[in-house]
Amino acid sequence: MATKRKGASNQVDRPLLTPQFCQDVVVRNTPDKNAFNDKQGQDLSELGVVDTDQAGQHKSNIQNDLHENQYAIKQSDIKTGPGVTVHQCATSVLGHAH
Amino acid sequence: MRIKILTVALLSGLICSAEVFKLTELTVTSQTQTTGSIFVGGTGDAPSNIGDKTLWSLVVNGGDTKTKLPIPVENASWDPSTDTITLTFSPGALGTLDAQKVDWTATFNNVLQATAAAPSRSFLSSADTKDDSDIYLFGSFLAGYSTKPLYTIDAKVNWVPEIKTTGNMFGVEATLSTNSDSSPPVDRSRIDPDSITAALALRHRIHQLSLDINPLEGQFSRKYPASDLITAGTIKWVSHPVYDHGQAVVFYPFIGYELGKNLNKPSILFKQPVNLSPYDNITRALFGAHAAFLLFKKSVTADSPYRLAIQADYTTRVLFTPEPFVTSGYSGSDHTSIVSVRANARHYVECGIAYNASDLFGIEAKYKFGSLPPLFEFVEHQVVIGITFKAKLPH
Repeated sequence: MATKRKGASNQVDRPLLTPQFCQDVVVRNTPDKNAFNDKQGQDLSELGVVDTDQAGQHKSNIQNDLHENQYAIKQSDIKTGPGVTVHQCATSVLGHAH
Repeated sequence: MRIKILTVALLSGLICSAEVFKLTELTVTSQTQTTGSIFVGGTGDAPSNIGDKTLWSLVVNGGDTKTKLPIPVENASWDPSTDTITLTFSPGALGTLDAQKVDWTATFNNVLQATAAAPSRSFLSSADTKDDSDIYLFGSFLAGYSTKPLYTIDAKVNWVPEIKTTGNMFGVEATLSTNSDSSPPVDRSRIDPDSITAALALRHRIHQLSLDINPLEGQFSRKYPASDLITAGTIKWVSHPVYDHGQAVVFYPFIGYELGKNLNKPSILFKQPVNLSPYDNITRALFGAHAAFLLFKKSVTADSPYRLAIQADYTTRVLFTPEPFVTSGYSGSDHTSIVSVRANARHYVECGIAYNASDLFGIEAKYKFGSLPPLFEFVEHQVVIGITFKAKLPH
């Protein structure tokens, strides 16, 4: 049985890297995804990313989610935290996932 | 007449409420080379002709010749759910250029523009402050009449990068300072370090747990003198916060350990003879928690998100081997430090309140109680209150 190494990108059967996909990844990995009001300018603090600890956790969750979808990203390339909008975070994921 | 005035007022109100459309950023992805698509963010009310491909122009600038290459736009589509315009082109139009290594410029209607620069190749990039730096080095040299030269060094390394894209961070944290409290005149020049701390650091986050391990950490201080070598680790539960209407409450408990060896047993501490012979191995268990109440500003910014932040950190160290414990007392009329060596639990509490009354003015108060390693000097109810005023004047 083949094992998948974490961090490796298998480009077969993975979803297309689009703004919608990245937005979904960003929102579903916040502490309170149901608080998303469908507005791109919504601050991530309203979704529970309220401090640096939550921001670190959010980065880790996004990275793991992307791995499950056959993408890789460095946590330092993900822009998140209070004062960062859903759009800004999704754009950082869109520009750096590979 | 009244109806006309009302209609004009309503129309002007609608015009005023319409947010001016702007392009925010241009994003090139790892798939741009193969799919022939780039993404342009927009904010405000998108014009009806935003999807007209003839109004868009796309130019790349880069490669060995550094020439500008126009890329014909084959399609433009606006997605209001992500506030993004997708511009598509023939991947062959790039020729031999690497989409992620060139500068891009997208222009709409000859007016609005968004750009994306090729990533910088330089190994080092600038940092704004000491806290922000991975490497920081400050040195000074003072010379004067009737004093030997005085050298001051303040250095820091805080480099804990991620290993590939694994989520494991591993690196080095170290600080060094020399002659930090010295002032002229001095009788001899020396660059003996006042304090050195150095540690290997390993960090990982999984689910809601944050793991922080220092496999090897050394501390040296000339003031006492004191030095030790330990290995330490904590695991923290980053529980989901409670957030409602711009207010949040967080609570993160943690447990950990500190194991190591004392490297220094001075016979005199605080100008008194002491017996530190039982102080040899270091074996501590850690328990504690971080709690905070956060009140957000109406307009949250990444630099300063909170109007009010009340935070409390509590740590207790359970000692399994005897270690010094320093309290203060009176010997006659003299205020003096009293050193004992025992294995009692050592508590430490630090609370802080920071209130940003406005963007210009803030008040901060801190409260400390307890003791910290290596010497566990007991701090009994210490309060510090500070006021901050920061502003720029017109130039």
